[in-house]
Amino acid sequence: MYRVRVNVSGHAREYFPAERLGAWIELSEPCPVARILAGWSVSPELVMAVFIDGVKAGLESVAPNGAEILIVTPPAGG
Amino acid sequence: MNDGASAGGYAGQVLRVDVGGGSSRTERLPGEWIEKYVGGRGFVAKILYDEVPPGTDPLGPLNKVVMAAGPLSGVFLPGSGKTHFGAKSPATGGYGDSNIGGHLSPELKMAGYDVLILEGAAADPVIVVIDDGKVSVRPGGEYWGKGCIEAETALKRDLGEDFEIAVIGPAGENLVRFACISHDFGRQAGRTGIGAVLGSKKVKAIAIRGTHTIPLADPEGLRELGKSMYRACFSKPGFREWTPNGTAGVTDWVNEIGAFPTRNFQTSYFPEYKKINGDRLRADIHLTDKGCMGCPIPCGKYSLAKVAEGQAHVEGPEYETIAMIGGDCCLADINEVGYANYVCDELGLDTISAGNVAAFAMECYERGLLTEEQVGRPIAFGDLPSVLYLFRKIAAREGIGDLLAGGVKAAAEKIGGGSERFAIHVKGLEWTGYESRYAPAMMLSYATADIGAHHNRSWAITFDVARGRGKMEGKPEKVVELQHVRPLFDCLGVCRLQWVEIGFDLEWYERVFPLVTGRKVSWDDLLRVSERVWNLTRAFSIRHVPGWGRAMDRPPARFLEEPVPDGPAKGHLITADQMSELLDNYYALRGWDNNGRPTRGKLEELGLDDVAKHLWG
Repeated sequence: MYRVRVNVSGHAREYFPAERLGAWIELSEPCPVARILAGWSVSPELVMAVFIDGVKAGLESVAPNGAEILIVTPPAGG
Repeated sequence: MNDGASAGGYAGQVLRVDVGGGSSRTERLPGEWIEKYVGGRGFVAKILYDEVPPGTDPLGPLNKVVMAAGPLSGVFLPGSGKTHFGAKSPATGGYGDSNIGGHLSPELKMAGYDVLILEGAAADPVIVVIDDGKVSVRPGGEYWGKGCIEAETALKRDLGEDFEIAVIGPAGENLVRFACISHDFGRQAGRTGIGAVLGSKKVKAIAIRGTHTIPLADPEGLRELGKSMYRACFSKPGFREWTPNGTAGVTDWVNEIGAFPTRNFQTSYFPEYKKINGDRLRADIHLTDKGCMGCPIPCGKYSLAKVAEGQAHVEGPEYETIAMIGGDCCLADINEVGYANYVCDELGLDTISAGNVAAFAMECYERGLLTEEQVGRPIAFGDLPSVLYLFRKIAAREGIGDLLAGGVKAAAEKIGGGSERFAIHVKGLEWTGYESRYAPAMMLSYATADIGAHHNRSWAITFDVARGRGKMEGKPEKVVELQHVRPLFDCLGVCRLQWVEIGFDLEWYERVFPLVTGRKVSWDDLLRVSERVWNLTRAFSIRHVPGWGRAMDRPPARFLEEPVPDGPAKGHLITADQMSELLDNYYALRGWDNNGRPTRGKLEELGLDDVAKHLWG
């Protein structure tokens, strides 16, 4: 069993499934971050950056079992 | 009904200064303003609507500059350093406002005032000095002609380091219609040309020192909740990751979805964006972070930019400057963008409009609509000396600069030759950093923003992405929602970045409001205030600008007729028919008629009976 925890930063977290955020999710096998989002029907274009256990990664990165994934959504200019 | 003196969160007084006569008077803050308009932007809108009549010359003595704090300004909670400025805009002729971070509104409240209104015009340069209850209009000739940062430095030296300063640069002095107000060595109220209104009054600077405390309804409760709010910020996912690059961190994303202004919005993808993004800022020029009062997520990036001409310390560049001076003028070096940012800051030019105007001029030059003789030298995209040359000419109103100092709309009217098709503005205010041909909600946001083309009223581009960029359904609903939520922060006097950048929950503001003010209001009550203010600013502009309505709620022809030529948004545009459908639905949701005019019923429902009489008789 593959377990990761996904959190989302920024106002666009409203477009992610609230019940999944911050909770451990279990999948049958390791997979890229992009595939987790696809399973939630979330557009990868909402992702500005990905961090895995605090280290910058990418949508195609595969988090290790037990890792925490942070999705940073885009800020609104300035 | 509360009055100003008894409500927590308010100093309870309005200060009026006649800058021509040198006199000032203090008035009680009306309780009705607190109830119906809350503060900040709400006060600005109410005062301008009531006191600046249609027909007023934006650069004449009858225009007024209003500076207002909100009830949450300067109190113990994240991001409470926001101040709102407003005036009839010389850029659009309609309602104009702009907010600024830093320390001004807390100081104004501690000096005893929620609102400062500058009236009249001086014959010679002056500075307005507010030192607690002592108000004076002093000769300011020795500061006139100085750059913003240079003048702020001199004023702090002469008056005292503990004064907070708002200042204009040469662009404001010379009535450039996109001149800004500067504060804290690199923060600006950039939009709608209020710096030029100060310049028309010969006011070089406003200096404020306050030593009073801000009254609070429940100081102990606020202390505890404030601590919780900070802790909530610090514990938000993304807090640590967002801060290093600030707003510049969005540069990659905007390019990768095809929304980055490039070559005067000819396209929406800048191939060299990784040379000017947040990572380059951090690696190449960043020195330290700089935040406003009470900010846990400092977006200011204090930098040292080095180019062939010299080097300069600058606060920035933030995203909008990267987009409009970087991508739109095709500068592919973060040092160049930072240096051009510094030049604008000293001259007192809004970097958004300045970049947009320079890019417009370069496209006119490429197309042969401006000649070398007219410009005074060759100019080209991607060439820093061209950009700096244009900025300096504009601020001085010399040669080509005088033609461009009115902004792209006015310049296109003079240049002709079809240039109005690629003068990228709405209602005379230059477009900002999001090319929106593949983002209908964002396009509608720009078309209907109450001050002209501006992103901060409704930043809806993530909604476009989330719900389908080609779809029109649901877009007007989201734009209306955001146009009430986002400007509400400007009424409250707090920064919205805690919410939009790290997802700080809106419920906190509903909880903190009664602890500060003693008034229990729901978030829906506050949104109702924001809707009232939105209708008031719309009515102001309708009364002041003939044709302000459907015909002006539209993007430039380029966006409706030219598909994006390359990049991730290649082939996309929003047609005139689609735009019309978006507007139909938007007006219906707002309770406006088909020409974008608030109906009598809507205005009366919002308690704006006097406005209904003005619009409908």
